[in-house]
Amino acid sequence: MTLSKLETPLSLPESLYEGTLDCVHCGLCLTHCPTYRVTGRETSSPRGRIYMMRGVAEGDLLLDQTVADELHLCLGCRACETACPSGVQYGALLETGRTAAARAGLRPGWRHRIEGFALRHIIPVPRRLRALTTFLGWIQRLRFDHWLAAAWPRGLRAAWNLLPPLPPRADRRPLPRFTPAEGVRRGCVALHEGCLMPEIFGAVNRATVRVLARNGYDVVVPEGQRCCGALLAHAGDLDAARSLARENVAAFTADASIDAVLSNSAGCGAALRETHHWLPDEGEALAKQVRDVCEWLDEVGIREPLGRLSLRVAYDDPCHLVHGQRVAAAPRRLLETVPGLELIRHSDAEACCGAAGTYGLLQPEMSSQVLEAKMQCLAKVEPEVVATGNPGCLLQLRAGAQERHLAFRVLHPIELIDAAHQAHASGPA
Amino acid sequence: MKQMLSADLKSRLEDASDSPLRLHDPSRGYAGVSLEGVAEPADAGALSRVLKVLDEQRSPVAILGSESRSWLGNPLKPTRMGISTARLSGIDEFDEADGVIRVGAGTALDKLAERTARSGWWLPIDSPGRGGTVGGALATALCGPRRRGFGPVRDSVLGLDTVLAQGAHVRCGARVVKNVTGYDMAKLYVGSLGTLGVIERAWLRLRAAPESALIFQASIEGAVHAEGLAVARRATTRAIAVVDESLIPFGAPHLGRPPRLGKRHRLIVEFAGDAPAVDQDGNWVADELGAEPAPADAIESLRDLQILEFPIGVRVRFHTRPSQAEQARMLLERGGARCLICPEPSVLTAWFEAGLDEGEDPWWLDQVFAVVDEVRAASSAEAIIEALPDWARGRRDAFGGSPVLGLMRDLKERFDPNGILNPGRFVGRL
Amino acid sequence: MVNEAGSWISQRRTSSRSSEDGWIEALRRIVGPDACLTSKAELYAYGCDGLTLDPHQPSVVVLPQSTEEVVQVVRACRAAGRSFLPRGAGTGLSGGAHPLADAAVISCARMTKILNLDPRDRLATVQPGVVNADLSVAARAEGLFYAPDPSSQQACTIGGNVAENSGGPHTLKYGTTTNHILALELVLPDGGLVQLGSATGGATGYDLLGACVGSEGTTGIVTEITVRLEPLPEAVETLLVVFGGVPDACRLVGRIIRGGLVPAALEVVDRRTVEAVEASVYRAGLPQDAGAVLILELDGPACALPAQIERIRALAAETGASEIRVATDEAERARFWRARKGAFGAMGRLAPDLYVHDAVVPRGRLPEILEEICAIGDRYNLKLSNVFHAGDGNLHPNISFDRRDPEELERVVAAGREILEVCVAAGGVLTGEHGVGTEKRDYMGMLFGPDDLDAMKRLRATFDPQGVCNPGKIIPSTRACIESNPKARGYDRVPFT
Repeated sequence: MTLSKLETPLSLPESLYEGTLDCVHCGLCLTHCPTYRVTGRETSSPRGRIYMMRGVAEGDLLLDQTVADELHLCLGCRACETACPSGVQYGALLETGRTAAARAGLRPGWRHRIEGFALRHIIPVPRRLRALTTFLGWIQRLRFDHWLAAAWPRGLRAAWNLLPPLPPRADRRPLPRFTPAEGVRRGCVALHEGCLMPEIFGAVNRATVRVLARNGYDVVVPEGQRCCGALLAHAGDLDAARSLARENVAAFTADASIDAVLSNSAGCGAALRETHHWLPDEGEALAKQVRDVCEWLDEVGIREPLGRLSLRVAYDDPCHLVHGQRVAAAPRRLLETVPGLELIRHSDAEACCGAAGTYGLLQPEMSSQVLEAKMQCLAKVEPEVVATGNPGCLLQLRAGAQERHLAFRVLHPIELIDAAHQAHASGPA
Repeated sequence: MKQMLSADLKSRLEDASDSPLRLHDPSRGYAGVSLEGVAEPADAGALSRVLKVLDEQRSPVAILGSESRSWLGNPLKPTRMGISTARLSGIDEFDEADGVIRVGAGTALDKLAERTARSGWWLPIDSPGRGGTVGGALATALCGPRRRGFGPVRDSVLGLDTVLAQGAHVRCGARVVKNVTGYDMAKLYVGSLGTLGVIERAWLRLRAAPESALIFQASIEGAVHAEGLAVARRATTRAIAVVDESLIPFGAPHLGRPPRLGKRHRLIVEFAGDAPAVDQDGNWVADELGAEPAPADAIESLRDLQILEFPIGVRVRFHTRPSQAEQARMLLERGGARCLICPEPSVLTAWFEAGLDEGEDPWWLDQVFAVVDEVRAASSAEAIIEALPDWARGRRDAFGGSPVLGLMRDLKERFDPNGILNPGRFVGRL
Repeated sequence: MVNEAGSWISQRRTSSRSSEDGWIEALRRIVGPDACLTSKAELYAYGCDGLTLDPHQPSVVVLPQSTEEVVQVVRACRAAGRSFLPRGAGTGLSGGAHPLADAAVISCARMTKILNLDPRDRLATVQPGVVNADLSVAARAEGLFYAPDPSSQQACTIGGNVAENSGGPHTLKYGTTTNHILALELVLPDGGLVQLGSATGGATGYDLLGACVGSEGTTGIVTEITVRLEPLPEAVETLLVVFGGVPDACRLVGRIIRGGLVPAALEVVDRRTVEAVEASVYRAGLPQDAGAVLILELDGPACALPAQIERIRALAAETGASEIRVATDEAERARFWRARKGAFGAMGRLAPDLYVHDAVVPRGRLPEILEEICAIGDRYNLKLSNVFHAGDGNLHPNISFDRRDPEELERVVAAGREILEVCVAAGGVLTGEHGVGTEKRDYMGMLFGPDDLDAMKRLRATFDPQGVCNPGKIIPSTRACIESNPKARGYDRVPFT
């Protein structure tokens, strides 16, 4: 009896219950769900999870560890939203459901505790994140990890393997607050630089700024911008995510001359675009301005000539771009403008790679199985480059390729555009 | 000493069917027995009453249509009574807007086809030979050369009224063209040789008459089945057969035209559909195979040929997969058979003819069976023996058995607990 | 592979084992701990399929991966005296795939291998969990496709299609599932393993294969399926014909059928459905001001289609069509079909619950029956919309409602029943492709008398004499049958169990 008391500390929020009612149980989402495809369990499908949340809300089911575990087994890729004819806002339901589970104290496990600590106290604080990156970089360079690896638990080892060679401090210098447009000025955009991007993919951020400037945009990187909060929300800490979102609203909406707020990280872009979900009124203005950088360039058109890149490129959709932001054609169109670049198709480009933010660290087994399917699809078409616009996916695919000794490189599409600009500058068109 | 039908039973049957028993022509046997009386019920009620009487008496009964397919199946176990569907005939309802028709089991196929064609609909039942009734066509589920276009018989059956051995009048399916209401019971009766119940009437699905239809023939040799298959897979192919030239003078003299030198096989194809598409396929077959137009009744001729029986001979039908049909043909021809091949679905009919000196030689028959078994094993084919010399009938299950005979026996017992309907004729002598 | 995936489950499940009996233990030993779901939360999703009106949780869900495992699972269930039923993706709409008693659900979701795809013989052999659309995608590489295409084809499984004898838009020309199944491997309810049918299409004896297709999982667990594949047509044209109302669209359908044209598909979508679809991710630019849209697909030799389109234009003009739009490319065509197939789900935008009805009527009577059905919807004050396979006469009156309102639910049920009565009176049937399941079980008496149902029982008993395989489906209890069939009332003196 005491047990059941512990397990039903609260009912689910009304908004979540209303959201579950949009589902008519048609099941079209099932095969789009990576965890259903791996497990075959309807419990681990979007429909199953929604039905479970509905059951909890209707008092038919306890909000217990099993429910919480299922909610956390979800990658949050939102492929189900793209398949859902009745427009269930699954991503939002998941965040609310996880928050309810977290409030009910259903979140044990050392991985989640480390994650919670990191998400709250390290990642959103650039100073601390930088210090951590520097520290991990030292470990890598001194090759301590090879010594330590044997003693680590398997899951941690997998997590460590995800980590690419960390760039030296020089490459992690902050972006200039303002970069002027080159040539005739077309406008002004703000860049959300993200929290992990500057630390691990500083080169992508700089390439983004270069490409935008070349194409006639002033690029501002507003001070006071914060982590987008997506990882916190996915982990069920909506309150922390909201406070970050508030700071971002302040930082990005201060300057009225900005044409758009750009993100080169699909996960951050999706979160910023849905700021109004977390902050119903004040978030509206920011949400409307957000674009993915590829989407923006496709919309305004590449102005500067592109040099030749003779490459076979497979574009792999980041979930939070294709499902979260419904951007699928723009990056492909953009890449196809590069002379010599052959865009090849692989099956299931829209399927999740298993990175899903911190998922790879929290659910390493499931993550690696989802990745395995992705790698098999990619290996079949033998690309030279796999392009994808999200840091988590870049890390995951790189680690997957390395582990399987696949020959392709994994790059952000903007790096290819930047390379094409440079190829034009350095050689004949 | 043959026991005569008791007067008591006779009068009870006549009461039940409201009509006198017909005498069966004693000179014509029926499926290995000679019948002493045939009841001719005029409706489902009478049919039900007749069957109840027979079931109470445990009296086996043969179900007769036009008796044109009595060659199919095993000989009947001793049976003295027959039930004819002759008076269960006629069109009950013909929905010309919907292309569906409800007909009695005793309705003659040719007359029915003629009637529907007048309204622009084809009866998609293409039974070998001539004559025949709807009930017989459904109970035997035999297919002619147009199976390519029409599909198997079961696909054209929408609903059935049947009367079971103990007199229950059972309906299944309906008049609509799509239906999953309950078990698909009609499938059971179609092709069951009347051993589960007597088909009383049926809802059939018709096909829209094509805008254009053309028939061609060509002489071919070499990879006979492969060429036939290529023709069969054209978009408008409705009927297709590849025939051993030497069968044509016996079975289908109307096809005319002497064989071409060095070519043992003749291909006959019918294209049907929209005129441009039919013309396109016609031109293609003329260019590829040098085909020329065939007589208008070529398909009927092929149907006649399908039931050709030699005075002393064996006819066997094989069902195989297209990829294994060529091998089956070669094994058969090497074994002395002559073939009629429908390439898709791949059905081979093979004729073995005994020489004069082989007369009633069981050794010859064993050799034929050895070839049949070889083909069956080598090309994982089903083999159905359709004709045997009189002296050899019943030596072997005409259907070659079934791996799920246990289930079938159980089913038979549930539908016909006293085993009175066409006893012994079906697979495993059910 | 999957075992590793599930290791997290087994870790956390160990504590609850003590309360379970040896039966579950036996199942767990057969399929592995991660493939055996027992807690209430895990089972919750299996409480219903696409029909949510009457959920019942199973006692256990097992996810075998091979025929051998299915055989053992069935034997273990039999040894424990438990009933069981198969389940594919749970997209069915008649309650066929959820248990009534505390049966075990045998999910085929992990049996997803395409075992053989043979372009020479144009057939494929698959495990039951293979997703319908995945088979067509695999066959496409060989210039072939799998014709039955239920609207849920992106999720539903071939095994489920076999159980329900599923249809879909293209069954008008190509036939339903039963016309495409050549052979089945079936685990009988007693644990025996049999092969029904034959890849040659010429199996001898009773057509047990035909009787099993559409038997809604009551004749055993299908573990392998050999299907016939069709060649991709040379050309395909998809047309949208716009009408002022559904009856007008149906009149054109009648003219087309009578005129001897055989389109690949003839689908009618009414205004309410168009609005819902156009608000969803499956929007396709269907005209929202139209009373009804007819989606018409022609396929076949390229040279034949222009003349067919002309004939249809002429017929459409005669029946008062306001516009005809021909899809200009493959992408637009695909959009039309995605819109059509997403239609059911999109109705979720109108209300929390959706009752997808299914009935068939003679095609010639579509216009008048549609009018009657709409009148029924109005009379009961329900949100009723129509999206259906007009070419087959297969109606799907969909009723949007909120099951939390018991009074509305009552009206839904009453209207549903009345619609069926109208259809049956016109010579129609209770279901064209969704099956009877539990949804329509008690209506069977509208169409069938005791003798008819008794024959079905004989068939069922042949496969499952003890009635342990998906019990409670299809065949009504004696009382329900008499109550729903006034004509049958006189039979209550005659025992017909």
